[in-house]
Order: sequence, then C-alpha cells, then structure tokens
Amino acid sequence: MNPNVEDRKCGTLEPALSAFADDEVFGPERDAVVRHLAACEACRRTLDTYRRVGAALRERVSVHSGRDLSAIAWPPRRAAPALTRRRRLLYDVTRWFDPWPVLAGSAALVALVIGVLWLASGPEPSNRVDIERLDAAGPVMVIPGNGGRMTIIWLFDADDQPEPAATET
Amino acid sequence: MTRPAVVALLLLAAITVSAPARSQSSVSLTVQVIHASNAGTSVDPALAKIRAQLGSMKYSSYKLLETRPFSTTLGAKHAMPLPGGRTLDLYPFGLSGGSLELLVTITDGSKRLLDTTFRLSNNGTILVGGPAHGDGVLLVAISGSF
Repeated sequence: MNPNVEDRKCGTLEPALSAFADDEVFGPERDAVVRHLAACEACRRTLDTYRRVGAALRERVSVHSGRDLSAIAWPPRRAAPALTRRRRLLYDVTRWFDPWPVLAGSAALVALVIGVLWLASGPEPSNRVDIERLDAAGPVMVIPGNGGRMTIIWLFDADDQPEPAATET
Repeated sequence: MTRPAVVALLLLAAITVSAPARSQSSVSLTVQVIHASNAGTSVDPALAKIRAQLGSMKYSSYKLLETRPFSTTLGAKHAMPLPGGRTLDLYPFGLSGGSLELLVTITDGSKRLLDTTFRLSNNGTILVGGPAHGDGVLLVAISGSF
C-alpha cells in the first residue's frame, strides 16, 4: 500500500466522504478514500454520520412526499360551460378516448411487467468475485474458479517461483 | 378512484417493484482458516462446500483450523488473528450493483502480505492462499452473504 494514502490528512479527504456516502466517488479517488477509511477510525465515524443523516433525510422526504396532491390542478379549473345534451355526450365520449391517460397507464403497466420479469430472472452470475485492486508483498497469481464460483488469490514469497498446481485459468 | 389516480398508482407500483433494495446495510461474513499440506490425504468434512475448488491445488490434505462468522454492518472494520502471528483485516465498505465491496489486508508484523479491494456477490467466496504454515500453507476463505 502506498503509505501516502494512509497518511493523508483527514481534512483533505473529508469533502470526498459526503460524496462517497452517496456513491458518487469513482476510480482512483474512491480507492484512496476506501484505503484511508480502512486506516482511520475518525473518518469511518464521519462517514457513518453522513450515511445516517442521508438516510434520515431520505426518510423525511419519503414521508412528506406522501401528501395528497390531487386537489392541485393547473391551469385552475373553471366552471364548465353549459353543454347541450348532444355536446355533453360528445364531450364524454372524446374524454374517454383521451389518449394520454391511456398511454401513461400502458407505460406504467409495461414498466411493471419489465420489473417483475427482471426480478423473476433472479441473480444472474451467482457467486462472482471481481477484484478491483490488488497489492502484495511478492508475486501473486489470481485463479478464477469454476465458472467464477470462487476466485483464488495465491501469494508467493518474493524469492519463490510461482508454481501452484492450479490448472484453471 | 379516478383514472389519473389509477395511473399514478400503477406507476408507483412499477417503480417500487423495479427499484433494487438499497437500504440493506448488514452483512454476514465467514472466514475459514485452512491448513493445506501434503501430509496425508484427508479433506476436512467441513470443507465439503469448497472441496471441488481445493482439488485444483497441489495439496492432498486440507484441515479446517478455524471458522469465524461475522455479523456486521457496512463501514465497520474487523481484525482477526491468523496462525503464525499474521493478522487479517476485513473492511466491508459498500454495497453496489448487488455486490459487497470489501477491502482485505493480511499483515505479518509490519509486512503487508496482501492489500486488495474486490466485489463479492451474494454467497460468493474468495480464497487467499500461500503464506507458509507448518509443513504446508495457509488458506483463508472469505464468504459473504447480504
């Protein structure tokens, strides 16, 4: 591990912690944050605070978004003009064939079906391991197991020649 | 119920069903410490689950030294002593795309034998092997479920 990463002052990483709590830090910066967190109890506490505050805010937003907005109409409703019987019938028929609510309902139904199918398809590549970063004191061999079921990281002494009898690649 | 309300309800249901659960933050990790050697030909029955993978190595005997389950939360760091004065550090730091993000280090005194970050899918296992132990080597199997 690069010692500079662990030695970085907490203050230089703190702005990134908030973004990290929201899964908005990527690449090398994310790596640096993770490695600093692994070594710094104070920053782990700060991150935990950010996550708890974020969760509490999301919960409040969720609660307040449950208000009934059906009374809101734009543009403001005006009294409907008096209609003759024939015109009222025509109005009712055309209102029922207004395409937008039907299209919106159809789109929602399609989204629902896609969501259900997505859930029913289950967890696709099960038991997979993806190594993002690997540093070791000596040579290393990474051996993907059967169909990704189990990945093996083999560490060698710096003086050793790599020679585990593993045959899978 | 008016039609717009029905449409809104359907849309909400679709979004709710489609959205992955993000609120989970508790994870279960299991660490198995195994001694692999060529002394004998026995495989510990407790290792039946990973026996097929162990078969790809050059050792004939596998003995389970220790199993340690951890129930933990994201952001909590755990240290576990390994045979030979080594230390295993586990730091589950995120859940992303249905995978657990984990930082693992193995140190031997001041020497860092391994320092890695990886994503582990549910019930996935990663096996770290190589450090010498007795007449064989040490294997450390790390599994996670969440």
